Amino acid sequence: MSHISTYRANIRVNPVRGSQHDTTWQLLEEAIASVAEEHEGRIDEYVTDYFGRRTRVDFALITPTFRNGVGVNVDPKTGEVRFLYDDYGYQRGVIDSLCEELVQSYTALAVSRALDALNYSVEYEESKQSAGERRVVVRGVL
Amino acid sequence: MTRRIEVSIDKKGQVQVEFIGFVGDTCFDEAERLQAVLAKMGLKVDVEQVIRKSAGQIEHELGVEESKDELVVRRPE
Repeated sequence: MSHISTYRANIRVNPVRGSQHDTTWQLLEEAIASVAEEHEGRIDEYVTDYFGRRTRVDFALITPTFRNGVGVNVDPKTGEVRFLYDDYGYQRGVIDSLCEELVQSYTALAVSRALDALNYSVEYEESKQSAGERRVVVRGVL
Repeated sequence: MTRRIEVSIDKKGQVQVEFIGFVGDTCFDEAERLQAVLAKMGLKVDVEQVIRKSAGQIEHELGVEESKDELVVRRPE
């Protein structure tokens, strides 16, 4: 019996940022770097609001389409990942899309690593859907 | 027999996992193993839907006929 399961994924990293070898924080940084690269952006430690005030965050994704930056903070009690940004003057859709891509990238990286840990040979494929949405497929073969 | 897991991830955080080529209920054991490793990777996944494949689909994947109680291997004539 083989089957098809549908899951809802939630990111829960290690609440306390540990050593540089902490897998969950490494994955989070890699996911943000991946989205930054795709949008010709960069990672910073600060986001900016409409008035130019800076706020320190765990990671900030700065892109040409959203220069204030999407802040990524980890709740120190639960490990829940939260996004922090000032969208005043920007199209909400652009920011929502960046946040969704961050979650998607983290999920894809985590799935790839998990399959690899279970000794599967892993393939990764990205495609754009008709509506411009990015879909990621990770295949593991044993 | 090659076993495959194909995972599709959309922008809304929905993850569809297809288990291909697993015999019997081993796919459910593998799903649990995968969930456990994903949790270690910081990804908590909640099951929304599970669809068991039809006998025809399984036969196509495995080249065998799987009955309710036993697995019948089709031998070449």
